[in-house]
Amino acid sequence: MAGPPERLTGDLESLDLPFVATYQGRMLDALGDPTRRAVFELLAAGPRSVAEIAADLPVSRPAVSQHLKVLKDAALVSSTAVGTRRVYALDPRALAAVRDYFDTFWQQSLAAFKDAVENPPEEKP
Amino acid sequence: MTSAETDPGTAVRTSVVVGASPEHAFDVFTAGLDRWWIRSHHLLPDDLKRVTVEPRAGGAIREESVTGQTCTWGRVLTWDPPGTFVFAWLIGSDWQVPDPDAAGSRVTVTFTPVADGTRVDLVHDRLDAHGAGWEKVRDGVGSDGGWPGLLREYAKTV
Repeated sequence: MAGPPERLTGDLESLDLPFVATYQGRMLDALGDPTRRAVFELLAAGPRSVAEIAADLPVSRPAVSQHLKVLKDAALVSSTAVGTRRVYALDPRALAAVRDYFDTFWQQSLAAFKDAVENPPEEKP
Repeated sequence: MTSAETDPGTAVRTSVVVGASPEHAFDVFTAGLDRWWIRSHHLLPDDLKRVTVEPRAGGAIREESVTGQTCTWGRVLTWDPPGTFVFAWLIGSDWQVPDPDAAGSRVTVTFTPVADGTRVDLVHDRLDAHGAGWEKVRDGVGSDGGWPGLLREYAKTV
């Protein structure tokens, strides 16, 4: 292994724990509602306006707006003005957490992979 | 080979240099997947017996539990030894058995000869396919198969 293990372990913890503590509580509450989760999943496919979301779900525009407000407060969704419309999209911070998760997963897995490549396999009975 | 480009905003990259030929590294990554897979990572409720890769494009990546159940969680997209191995990753960050038609992300692994062995570059992209898995990530963090288990496994390898 190249690099001191203490430092690597420290990195792993710092990647994960602040995210858990800071973001997840509000995110979980926000996604606990099935309609809000449907809105969130729709936005995962691409940015949309309130009218476009309401057209794809059996929900009124005012209700969509209310759900979007909760998702925004939880840092799951952000909005930008495009001309006279407001367009909603997934907040990059939400995706950053998924990236952190898989980043750590692959760092650990490739360390184990390197060990396997460089050491002969154990005999299987 | 799938030709769509990688969006860096929805990708993670990891590299490692291993002291072996590309042929051996490719073989351990695929045929030898079970030798290095972190045992706490499995989808079926019972303990993991093995993970396997069918060595062809379109082949299934599966796990088998100690009780004989199996589940497919990946699909080989490119099988081009010893240089390139690409597969669809169907597991969300919740580590639940995926639907057969689940939206997947993509893992591209390339093996490049370097002076002291082989550089293995792994790109896991299209991660926005797993965007709605937050609550399950939280559950995983607190369970034995989640972060505590991972960190224990990691500590054993260093």
